[in-house]
Amino acid sequence: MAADAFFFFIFLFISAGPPRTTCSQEGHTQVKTYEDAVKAQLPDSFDSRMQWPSYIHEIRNQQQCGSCWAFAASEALSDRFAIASNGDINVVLSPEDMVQCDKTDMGCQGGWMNKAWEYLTDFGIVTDACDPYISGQGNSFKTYCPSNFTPPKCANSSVEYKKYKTKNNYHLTTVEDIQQDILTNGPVEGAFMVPPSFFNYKSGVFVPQPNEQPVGGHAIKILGWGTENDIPYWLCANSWGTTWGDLGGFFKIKRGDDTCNIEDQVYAGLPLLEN
Amino acid sequence: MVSAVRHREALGPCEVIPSRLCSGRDVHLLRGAESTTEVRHDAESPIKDLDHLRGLPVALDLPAWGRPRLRCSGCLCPLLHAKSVLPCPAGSSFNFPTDISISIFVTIPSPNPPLPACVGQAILPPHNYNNESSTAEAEERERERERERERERDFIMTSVKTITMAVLVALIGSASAARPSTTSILVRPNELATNKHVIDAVNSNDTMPWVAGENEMFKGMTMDEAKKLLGTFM
Repeated sequence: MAADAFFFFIFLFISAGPPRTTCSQEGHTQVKTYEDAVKAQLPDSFDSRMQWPSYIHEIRNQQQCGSCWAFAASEALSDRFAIASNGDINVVLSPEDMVQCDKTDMGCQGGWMNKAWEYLTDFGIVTDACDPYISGQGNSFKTYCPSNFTPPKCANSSVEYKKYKTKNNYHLTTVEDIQQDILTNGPVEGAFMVPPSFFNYKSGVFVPQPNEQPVGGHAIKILGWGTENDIPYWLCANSWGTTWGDLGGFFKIKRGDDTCNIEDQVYAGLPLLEN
Repeated sequence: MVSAVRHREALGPCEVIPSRLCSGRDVHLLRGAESTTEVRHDAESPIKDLDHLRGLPVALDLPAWGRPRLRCSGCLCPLLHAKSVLPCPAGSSFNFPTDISISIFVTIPSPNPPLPACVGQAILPPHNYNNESSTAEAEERERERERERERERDFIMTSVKTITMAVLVALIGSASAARPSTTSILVRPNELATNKHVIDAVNSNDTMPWVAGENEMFKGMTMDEAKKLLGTFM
Protein backbone atom coordinates (compact mmCIF):
# COMPACT_ATOMS: atom_id res chain seq x y z
CA MET A 1 0.00 0.00 0.00
CA ALA A 2 2.81 2.38 0.83
CA ALA A 3 4.40 1.73 -2.54
CA ASP A 4 1.09 2.27 -4.28
CA ALA A 5 0.57 5.53 -2.47
CA PHE A 6 4.04 6.65 -3.42
CA PHE A 7 3.40 5.91 -7.09
CA PHE A 8 0.07 7.60 -6.93
CA PHE A 9 1.54 10.74 -5.44
CA ILE A 10 4.15 10.94 -8.17
CA PHE A 11 1.41 10.35 -10.71
CA LEU A 12 -0.51 13.32 -9.33
CA PHE A 13 2.52 15.49 -9.81
CA ILE A 14 2.85 14.39 -13.38
CA SER A 15 -0.81 14.60 -14.23
CA ALA A 16 -1.16 18.14 -12.93
CA GLY A 17 -0.27 19.29 -16.43
CA PRO A 18 0.75 22.78 -17.49
CA PRO A 19 -0.21 25.85 -15.43
CA ARG A 20 -3.85 26.61 -15.80
CA THR A 21 -4.88 30.19 -16.17
CA THR A 22 -8.51 29.72 -16.89
CA CYS A 23 -9.65 30.46 -13.38
CA SER A 24 -10.89 33.87 -14.39
CA GLN A 25 -13.43 32.29 -16.67
CA GLU A 26 -15.01 30.34 -13.86
CA GLY A 27 -16.37 33.46 -12.25
CA HIS A 28 -17.63 36.44 -14.18
CA THR A 29 -14.25 37.92 -14.99
CA GLN A 30 -13.81 38.47 -18.69
CA VAL A 31 -10.67 38.74 -20.76
CA LYS A 32 -10.32 42.25 -22.11
CA THR A 33 -8.55 42.97 -25.39
CA TYR A 34 -8.01 46.13 -27.37
CA GLU A 35 -7.95 46.44 -31.13
CA ASP A 36 -4.57 46.18 -32.80
CA ALA A 37 -4.95 49.63 -34.33
CA VAL A 38 -5.33 51.13 -30.88
CA LYS A 39 -2.37 49.27 -29.43
CA ALA A 40 -0.16 50.37 -32.32
CA GLN A 41 -0.07 53.83 -30.77
CA LEU A 42 1.52 52.73 -27.51
CA PRO A 43 4.40 54.93 -26.33
CA ASP A 44 7.83 53.45 -25.54
CA SER A 45 7.51 54.46 -21.92
CA PHE A 46 4.75 55.53 -19.61
CA ASP A 47 4.55 56.46 -15.96
CA SER A 48 1.13 57.01 -14.37
CA ARG A 49 2.74 59.26 -11.77
CA MET A 50 3.76 61.68 -14.51
CA GLN A 51 0.51 61.39 -16.43
CA TRP A 52 -1.77 61.86 -13.43
CA PRO A 53 0.44 63.37 -10.71
CA SER A 54 -2.33 64.11 -8.22
CA TYR A 55 -4.26 60.92 -8.72
CA ILE A 56 -1.68 58.20 -8.08
CA HIS A 57 -1.66 57.43 -4.41
CA GLU A 58 1.17 56.81 -1.99
CA ILE A 59 3.06 53.59 -1.40
CA ARG A 60 1.52 51.64 1.46
CA ASN A 61 2.68 48.93 3.86
CA GLN A 62 0.85 45.64 4.36
CA GLN A 63 3.13 44.82 7.31
CA GLN A 64 3.11 41.22 8.57
CA CYS A 65 -0.05 40.16 6.75
CA GLY A 66 -0.32 38.37 3.41
CA SER A 67 -2.74 41.00 2.15
CA CYS A 68 -0.84 42.14 -0.93
CA TRP A 69 -3.78 41.04 -3.07
CA ALA A 70 -6.06 43.49 -1.24
CA PHE A 71 -3.55 46.32 -1.22
CA ALA A 72 -2.76 46.10 -4.92
CA ALA A 73 -6.44 45.92 -5.86
CA SER A 74 -7.59 48.73 -3.59
CA GLU A 75 -4.67 50.94 -4.62
CA ALA A 76 -5.30 50.42 -8.33
CA LEU A 77 -8.99 51.16 -7.84
CA SER A 78 -8.24 54.28 -5.77
CA ASP A 79 -6.11 55.60 -8.61
CA ARG A 80 -8.71 54.69 -11.19
CA PHE A 81 -11.48 56.51 -9.36
CA ALA A 82 -9.39 59.67 -9.24
CA ILE A 83 -8.46 59.39 -12.91
CA ALA A 84 -11.95 58.58 -14.15
CA SER A 85 -13.55 61.37 -12.13
CA ASN A 86 -10.86 63.94 -12.94
CA GLY A 87 -10.06 64.18 -9.28
CA ASP A 88 -13.61 64.56 -8.00
CA ILE A 89 -13.34 61.18 -6.26
CA ASN A 90 -9.82 61.21 -4.93
CA VAL A 91 -9.93 58.82 -2.00
CA VAL A 92 -7.74 56.11 -0.55
CA LEU A 93 -9.78 52.93 -0.55
CA SER A 94 -9.65 50.34 2.18
CA PRO A 95 -7.69 47.10 1.83
CA GLU A 96 -8.98 46.25 5.29
CA ASP A 97 -12.50 45.99 3.85
CA MET A 98 -11.28 43.23 1.52
CA VAL A 99 -9.14 41.52 4.16
CA GLN A 100 -11.97 41.35 6.67
CA CYS A 101 -15.07 41.06 4.55
CA ASP A 102 -14.21 39.26 1.31
CA LYS A 103 -14.95 35.71 2.37
CA THR A 104 -14.04 34.29 -1.03
CA ASP A 105 -10.45 35.19 -0.29
CA MET A 106 -8.42 34.36 2.77
CA GLY A 107 -7.51 37.62 4.44
CA CYS A 108 -3.94 37.63 5.73
CA GLN A 109 -3.50 34.09 4.43
CA GLY A 110 -3.78 35.30 0.86
CA GLY A 111 -6.18 35.92 -1.97
CA TRP A 112 -7.00 35.29 -5.57
CA MET A 113 -6.74 38.16 -8.01
CA ASN A 114 -9.90 37.42 -9.94
CA LYS A 115 -11.94 36.95 -6.80
CA ALA A 116 -10.64 40.20 -5.38
CA TRP A 117 -11.89 42.09 -8.41
CA GLU A 118 -15.16 40.23 -8.38
CA TYR A 119 -15.58 41.41 -4.80
CA LEU A 120 -14.94 44.97 -5.94
CA THR A 121 -17.66 44.60 -8.56
CA ASP A 122 -20.18 42.78 -6.43
CA PHE A 123 -19.74 44.57 -3.10
CA GLY A 124 -17.22 47.38 -3.48
CA ILE A 125 -15.10 48.74 -0.65
CA VAL A 126 -15.26 51.68 1.70
CA THR A 127 -12.54 54.27 2.15
CA ASP A 128 -9.50 53.81 4.31
CA ALA A 129 -10.84 56.54 6.55
CA CYS A 130 -14.00 54.50 7.09
CA ASP A 131 -12.21 51.20 7.69
CA PRO A 132 -8.51 51.76 8.51
CA TYR A 133 -5.91 49.02 8.14
CA ILE A 134 -5.55 47.12 11.38
CA SER A 135 -4.61 43.66 10.12
CA GLY A 136 -0.91 44.42 9.98
CA GLN A 137 -0.07 41.83 12.60
CA GLY A 138 -1.72 39.08 10.59
CA ASN A 139 -5.10 38.99 12.35
CA SER A 140 -7.79 38.87 9.73
CA PHE A 141 -11.42 37.75 10.02
CA LYS A 142 -11.38 38.70 13.64
CA THR A 143 -12.15 42.32 13.85
CA TYR A 144 -14.50 44.62 12.03
CA CYS A 145 -16.50 44.49 8.81
CA PRO A 146 -18.55 47.66 8.21
CA SER A 147 -21.17 45.96 6.08
CA ASN A 148 -22.01 43.47 8.83
CA PHE A 149 -23.95 46.10 10.73
CA THR A 150 -27.54 47.13 10.09
CA PRO A 151 -27.34 49.74 8.88
CA PRO A 152 -23.69 49.43 7.81
CA LYS A 153 -21.37 51.83 9.56
CA CYS A 154 -17.76 52.90 9.52
CA ALA A 155 -15.24 52.03 12.20
CA ASN A 156 -14.75 55.76 12.44
CA SER A 157 -18.27 57.01 13.13
CA SER A 158 -17.53 60.49 11.83
CA VAL A 159 -17.00 59.12 8.34
CA GLU A 160 -19.87 58.50 5.98
CA TYR A 161 -20.34 54.87 4.97
CA LYS A 162 -20.09 54.52 1.23
CA LYS A 163 -19.04 51.64 -0.99
CA TYR A 164 -16.88 52.25 -4.06
CA LYS A 165 -17.47 49.62 -6.73
CA THR A 166 -16.30 48.71 -10.18
CA LYS A 167 -18.82 48.36 -12.96
CA ASN A 168 -16.91 45.38 -14.35
CA ASN A 169 -13.71 43.43 -13.87
CA TYR A 170 -11.43 41.86 -16.41
CA HIS A 171 -8.28 39.88 -17.03
CA LEU A 172 -5.60 41.35 -19.28
CA THR A 173 -3.63 38.63 -20.98
CA THR A 174 -1.12 40.25 -23.33
CA VAL A 175 1.64 42.79 -22.82
CA GLU A 176 0.03 45.25 -25.21
CA ASP A 177 -3.41 44.92 -23.66
CA ILE A 178 -1.93 45.55 -20.22
CA GLN A 179 -0.13 48.62 -21.52
CA GLN A 180 -3.19 49.95 -23.30
CA ASP A 181 -5.36 49.54 -20.25
CA ILE A 182 -2.88 51.38 -18.02
CA LEU A 183 -2.60 54.13 -20.61
CA THR A 184 -6.38 54.45 -20.90
CA ASN A 185 -7.67 53.79 -17.39
CA GLY A 186 -4.76 53.86 -14.97
CA PRO A 187 -2.83 51.31 -12.91
CA VAL A 188 -3.75 47.63 -12.85
CA GLU A 189 -3.19 44.84 -10.38
CA GLY A 190 -0.56 42.27 -11.28
CA ALA A 191 1.10 39.37 -9.52
CA PHE A 192 4.25 37.38 -9.93
CA MET A 193 6.10 34.43 -8.47
CA VAL A 194 8.70 35.84 -6.12
CA PRO A 195 12.23 34.41 -6.15
CA PRO A 196 14.18 34.67 -2.86
CA SER A 197 16.51 37.34 -4.21
CA PHE A 198 13.60 39.75 -4.70
CA PHE A 199 13.47 40.55 -0.99
CA ASN A 200 16.87 42.20 -1.51
CA TYR A 201 15.88 44.38 -4.45
CA LYS A 202 17.29 47.88 -4.38
CA SER A 203 17.22 49.30 -7.89
CA GLY A 204 17.44 48.42 -11.57
CA VAL A 205 15.34 46.01 -13.58
CA PHE A 206 14.66 42.88 -11.59
CA VAL A 207 15.24 39.50 -13.18
CA PRO A 208 15.62 36.30 -11.17
CA GLN A 209 18.97 34.63 -10.69
CA PRO A 210 19.65 31.41 -12.57
CA ASN A 211 18.03 28.40 -10.96
CA GLU A 212 16.08 30.38 -8.37
CA GLN A 213 12.95 28.70 -7.16
CA PRO A 214 9.98 30.96 -6.42
CA VAL A 215 8.79 31.05 -2.84
CA GLY A 216 5.27 32.37 -3.37
CA GLY A 217 2.96 34.66 -5.30
CA HIS A 218 2.85 38.38 -4.65
CA ALA A 219 0.41 41.00 -5.90
CA ILE A 220 1.52 44.47 -6.84
CA LYS A 221 0.24 47.50 -8.72
CA ILE A 222 1.59 48.03 -12.24
CA LEU A 223 1.58 51.68 -13.17
CA GLY A 224 3.82 52.03 -16.17
CA TRP A 225 6.61 50.71 -18.32
CA GLY A 226 9.85 51.76 -19.96
CA THR A 227 13.30 50.61 -21.01
CA GLU A 228 16.51 50.79 -19.00
CA ASN A 229 19.86 49.82 -20.51
CA ASP A 230 17.98 48.24 -23.39
CA ILE A 231 15.94 46.07 -21.04
CA PRO A 232 12.18 46.64 -21.17
CA TYR A 233 10.50 46.77 -17.79
CA TRP A 234 7.24 47.17 -15.94
CA LEU A 235 7.10 49.91 -13.33
CA CYS A 236 5.41 48.56 -10.22
CA ALA A 237 4.33 49.79 -6.80
CA ASN A 238 5.01 47.36 -3.98
CA SER A 239 3.18 47.43 -0.65
CA TRP A 240 6.16 46.97 1.63
CA GLY A 241 6.51 50.63 2.61
CA THR A 242 8.62 53.41 1.14
CA THR A 243 11.86 52.15 2.67
CA TRP A 244 11.87 48.88 0.75
CA GLY A 245 14.34 49.25 -2.13
CA ASP A 246 15.96 52.46 -3.26
CA LEU A 247 13.04 53.64 -5.39
CA GLY A 248 10.73 54.61 -2.56
CA GLY A 249 8.81 51.37 -2.57
CA PHE A 250 8.56 51.09 -6.35
CA PHE A 251 10.45 48.57 -8.45
CA LYS A 252 11.04 47.57 -12.04
CA ILE A 253 10.75 44.05 -13.40
CA LYS A 254 11.57 42.79 -16.86
CA ARG A 255 8.74 43.14 -19.35
CA GLY A 256 7.79 41.15 -22.39
CA ASP A 257 8.89 37.60 -21.61
CA ASP A 258 6.61 36.83 -18.68
CA THR A 259 9.43 37.12 -16.16
CA CYS A 260 8.30 35.40 -12.95
CA ASN A 261 4.85 35.08 -14.57
CA ILE A 262 4.31 38.83 -14.16
CA GLU A 263 2.17 38.95 -17.29
CA ASP A 264 -0.02 35.96 -16.41
CA GLN A 265 -2.24 37.45 -13.74
CA VAL A 266 -3.17 41.04 -14.47
CA TYR A 267 -6.61 42.22 -13.45
CA ALA A 268 -8.48 45.48 -13.32
CA GLY A 269 -11.95 47.00 -13.53
CA LEU A 270 -13.58 50.29 -14.39
CA PRO A 271 -14.81 52.40 -11.47
CA LEU A 272 -18.53 52.85 -11.09
CA LEU A 273 -18.84 56.62 -10.83
CA GLU A 274 -22.60 56.85 -10.35
CA ASN A 275 -23.34 54.97 -7.18
CA MET B 1 -9.08 8.83 -4.89
CA VAL B 2 -9.46 9.00 -8.62
CA SER B 3 -13.16 8.82 -8.36
CA ALA B 4 -13.13 11.76 -6.01
CA VAL B 5 -11.05 13.70 -8.46
CA ARG B 6 -13.19 12.80 -11.39
CA HIS B 7 -16.35 13.89 -9.67
CA ARG B 8 -14.93 16.92 -8.00
CA GLU B 9 -17.43 19.22 -9.65
CA ALA B 10 -20.14 17.56 -7.69
CA LEU B 11 -18.54 17.52 -4.30
CA GLY B 12 -21.39 17.65 -1.93
CA PRO B 13 -22.41 19.57 1.14
CA CYS B 14 -19.15 18.83 2.87
CA GLU B 15 -17.24 21.07 0.51
CA VAL B 16 -13.52 20.66 0.71
CA ILE B 17 -11.61 23.81 1.46
CA PRO B 18 -8.02 24.13 0.31
CA SER B 19 -6.48 24.91 3.62
CA ARG B 20 -7.86 21.86 5.26
CA LEU B 21 -7.02 19.70 2.32
CA CYS B 22 -3.44 20.89 2.35
CA SER B 23 -3.13 20.21 6.01
CA GLY B 24 -4.06 16.61 5.39
CA ARG B 25 -6.33 16.55 8.39
CA ASP B 26 -10.04 16.14 8.77
CA VAL B 27 -10.71 16.09 5.09
CA HIS B 28 -13.71 14.06 4.09
CA LEU B 29 -14.81 13.89 0.52
CA LEU B 30 -18.21 13.05 -0.76
CA ARG B 31 -18.23 11.20 -3.99
CA GLY B 32 -19.90 13.19 -6.72
CA ALA B 33 -23.41 12.47 -7.82
CA GLU B 34 -23.57 9.36 -5.71
CA SER B 35 -22.27 11.12 -2.73
CA THR B 36 -25.46 10.75 -0.78
CA THR B 37 -24.95 7.05 -0.42
CA GLU B 38 -21.23 6.78 -0.04
CA VAL B 39 -18.73 8.68 1.94
CA ARG B 40 -15.06 8.70 1.42
CA HIS B 41 -12.50 9.58 3.94
CA ASP B 42 -8.83 10.27 4.14
CA ALA B 43 -6.49 7.54 5.12
CA GLU B 44 -3.65 9.32 6.74
CA SER B 45 -0.78 7.83 4.87
CA PRO B 46 2.21 10.10 4.91
CA ILE B 47 4.43 9.23 2.01
CA LYS B 48 7.82 9.11 3.56
CA ASP B 49 9.43 7.37 0.62
CA LEU B 50 9.91 10.76 -0.97
CA ASP B 51 12.74 11.44 1.42
CA HIS B 52 15.15 9.80 -0.89
CA LEU B 53 14.41 12.42 -3.54
CA ARG B 54 15.71 15.15 -1.27
CA GLY B 55 18.41 17.18 -2.91
CA LEU B 56 17.78 16.07 -6.45
CA PRO B 57 17.46 19.13 -8.68
CA VAL B 58 14.44 17.62 -10.30
CA ALA B 59 12.29 20.69 -10.32
CA LEU B 60 14.89 22.86 -11.90
CA ASP B 61 15.10 21.33 -15.31
CA LEU B 62 11.75 19.74 -15.78
CA PRO B 63 9.35 22.47 -16.79
CA ALA B 64 6.88 19.95 -18.14
CA TRP B 65 5.77 19.00 -14.68
CA GLY B 66 7.97 21.00 -12.39
CA ARG B 67 6.40 24.31 -13.12
CA PRO B 68 2.81 23.67 -12.17
CA ARG B 69 3.84 22.09 -8.94
CA LEU B 70 5.92 25.09 -8.02
CA ARG B 71 2.96 27.24 -8.65
CA CYS B 72 0.77 24.92 -6.76
CA SER B 73 3.16 24.71 -3.90
CA GLY B 74 2.99 20.97 -3.79
CA CYS B 75 -0.45 20.35 -2.43
CA LEU B 76 -3.24 18.39 -3.95
CA CYS B 77 -5.75 21.18 -3.86
CA PRO B 78 -5.85 22.04 -7.56
CA LEU B 79 -6.89 18.51 -8.35
CA LEU B 80 -9.44 18.17 -5.66
CA HIS B 81 -10.96 21.52 -5.03
CA ALA B 82 -14.25 21.97 -6.76
CA LYS B 83 -14.09 25.39 -8.30
CA SER B 84 -10.59 26.65 -8.06
CA VAL B 85 -7.57 25.62 -10.07
CA LEU B 86 -5.49 27.88 -7.93
CA PRO B 87 -3.01 26.79 -5.32
CA CYS B 88 -2.93 26.33 -1.61
CA PRO B 89 -2.77 28.97 1.10
CA ALA B 90 0.51 30.74 1.46
CA GLY B 91 1.51 28.94 4.61
CA SER B 92 1.42 25.55 2.99
CA SER B 93 3.90 26.17 0.23
CA PHE B 94 7.20 24.40 0.06
CA ASN B 95 10.24 24.44 -2.11
CA PHE B 96 10.59 21.34 -4.15
CA PRO B 97 12.93 19.63 -3.55
CA THR B 98 14.28 21.21 -0.39
CA ASP B 99 11.19 20.56 1.72
CA ILE B 100 10.05 17.43 0.04
CA SER B 101 9.74 15.52 3.25
CA ILE B 102 6.40 17.10 4.10
CA SER B 103 3.65 14.63 4.70
CA ILE B 104 1.28 14.09 1.84
CA PHE B 105 -1.98 12.34 2.49
CA VAL B 106 -3.85 10.34 -0.04
CA THR B 107 -7.54 9.73 -0.15
CA ILE B 108 -8.70 6.16 -0.48
CA PRO B 109 -12.14 4.61 -0.28
CA SER B 110 -13.34 3.91 3.16
CA PRO B 111 -13.61 0.26 4.04
CA ASN B 112 -16.78 -0.36 5.94
CA PRO B 113 -18.77 1.22 7.27
CA PRO B 114 -18.41 4.66 5.71
CA LEU B 115 -17.52 7.49 8.02
CA PRO B 116 -19.79 10.46 8.64
CA ALA B 117 -19.64 13.10 5.98
CA CYS B 118 -18.02 15.90 7.84
CA VAL B 119 -16.71 16.39 11.29
CA GLY B 120 -19.04 18.72 13.07
CA GLN B 121 -21.71 18.56 10.39
CA ALA B 122 -24.75 16.47 9.78
CA ILE B 123 -24.06 12.76 9.75
CA LEU B 124 -25.45 11.07 6.69
CA PRO B 125 -26.85 7.57 7.06
CA PRO B 126 -24.87 5.28 4.81
CA HIS B 127 -27.68 3.64 2.81
CA ASN B 128 -31.10 5.05 2.25
CA TYR B 129 -30.91 7.66 -0.39
CA ASN B 130 -31.58 5.66 -3.51
CA ASN B 131 -34.98 4.29 -2.58
CA GLU B 132 -33.70 0.78 -3.00
CA SER B 133 -36.60 -1.66 -3.00
CA SER B 134 -34.87 -4.64 -1.49
CA THR B 135 -31.89 -5.28 0.67
CA ALA B 136 -30.65 -8.05 -1.62
CA GLU B 137 -30.69 -5.79 -4.63
CA ALA B 138 -28.87 -3.14 -2.72
CA GLU B 139 -26.25 -5.58 -1.54
CA GLU B 140 -25.73 -6.94 -5.05
CA ARG B 141 -25.42 -3.43 -6.37
CA GLU B 142 -22.92 -2.63 -3.69
CA ARG B 143 -20.85 -5.71 -4.51
CA GLU B 144 -20.88 -4.79 -8.19
CA ARG B 145 -19.76 -1.27 -7.36
CA GLU B 146 -16.99 -2.65 -5.22
CA ARG B 147 -15.79 -4.92 -8.04
CA GLU B 148 -15.88 -1.97 -10.41
CA ARG B 149 -13.82 0.10 -8.04
CA GLU B 150 -11.38 -2.74 -7.66
CA ARG B 151 -10.89 -2.99 -11.41
CA GLU B 152 -10.54 0.76 -11.68
CA ARG B 153 -7.92 0.84 -8.95
CA ASP B 154 -5.92 -1.97 -10.55
CA PHE B 155 -5.94 -0.28 -13.91
CA ILE B 156 -4.96 3.07 -12.51
CA MET B 157 -2.20 1.75 -10.32
CA THR B 158 -0.71 -0.18 -13.22
CA SER B 159 -0.73 2.95 -15.37
CA VAL B 160 0.62 5.06 -12.56
CA LYS B 161 3.49 2.71 -11.90
CA THR B 162 4.47 2.58 -15.55
CA ILE B 163 4.41 6.33 -15.99
CA THR B 164 6.12 6.96 -12.69
CA MET B 165 8.96 4.59 -13.41
CA ALA B 166 9.58 6.29 -16.73
CA VAL B 167 9.64 9.71 -15.13
CA LEU B 168 11.85 8.64 -12.25
CA VAL B 169 14.37 7.22 -14.68
CA ALA B 170 14.34 10.55 -16.49
CA LEU B 171 14.71 12.44 -13.22
CA ILE B 172 17.66 10.44 -12.05
CA GLY B 173 19.27 10.86 -15.44
CA SER B 174 18.85 14.60 -15.45
CA ALA B 175 19.99 14.86 -11.85
CA SER B 176 23.19 13.02 -12.48
CA ALA B 177 23.87 15.08 -15.60
CA ALA B 178 23.19 18.43 -13.94
CA ARG B 179 26.09 20.57 -12.89
CA PRO B 180 25.66 23.11 -10.12
CA SER B 181 25.57 26.70 -11.31
CA THR B 182 28.05 29.04 -9.74
CA THR B 183 25.41 31.75 -9.60
CA SER B 184 22.52 29.72 -8.28
CA ILE B 185 20.74 30.86 -5.13
CA LEU B 186 19.28 28.40 -2.72
CA VAL B 187 17.77 29.95 0.36
CA ARG B 188 16.57 27.48 2.91
CA PRO B 189 13.43 28.18 4.92
CA ASN B 190 15.30 29.01 8.12
CA GLU B 191 17.84 31.27 6.43
CA LEU B 192 17.49 35.01 6.52
CA ALA B 193 15.44 36.47 3.68
CA THR B 194 17.90 39.26 3.21
CA ASN B 195 21.42 37.97 3.65
CA LYS B 196 24.92 38.54 2.41
CA HIS B 197 25.05 35.29 0.49
CA VAL B 198 22.15 36.31 -1.73
CA ILE B 199 23.21 39.92 -2.05
CA ASP B 200 26.73 38.96 -3.06
CA ALA B 201 25.46 36.42 -5.55
CA VAL B 202 23.37 39.09 -7.28
CA ASN B 203 25.89 41.90 -7.16
CA SER B 204 28.77 39.75 -8.33
CA ASN B 205 26.84 38.66 -11.38
CA ASP B 206 27.70 41.16 -14.10
CA THR B 207 24.76 40.12 -16.22
CA MET B 208 22.22 41.13 -13.58
CA PRO B 209 20.56 44.45 -14.47
CA TRP B 210 19.67 45.19 -10.86
CA VAL B 211 21.34 45.92 -7.56
CA ALA B 212 20.72 43.99 -4.35
CA GLY B 213 21.10 45.18 -0.80
CA GLU B 214 19.72 44.71 2.65
CA ASN B 215 16.17 45.93 3.14
CA GLU B 216 15.25 47.03 6.62
CA MET B 217 11.80 45.48 6.39
CA PHE B 218 13.21 41.96 6.13
CA LYS B 219 16.13 42.40 8.46
CA GLY B 220 16.29 39.43 10.82
CA MET B 221 13.36 37.75 9.09
CA THR B 222 13.76 34.16 7.93
CA MET B 223 12.65 33.07 4.51
CA ASP B 224 9.72 31.24 6.07
CA GLU B 225 8.61 34.41 7.83
CA ALA B 226 9.05 36.53 4.73
CA LYS B 227 7.01 34.11 2.65
CA LYS B 228 3.97 34.89 4.76
CA LEU B 229 3.83 38.29 3.12
CA LEU B 230 3.40 36.66 -0.26
CA GLY B 231 -0.33 36.27 -0.19
CA THR B 232 -1.38 35.77 -3.77
CA PHE B 233 -2.43 32.45 -5.22
CA MET B 234 -1.31 32.03 -8.80
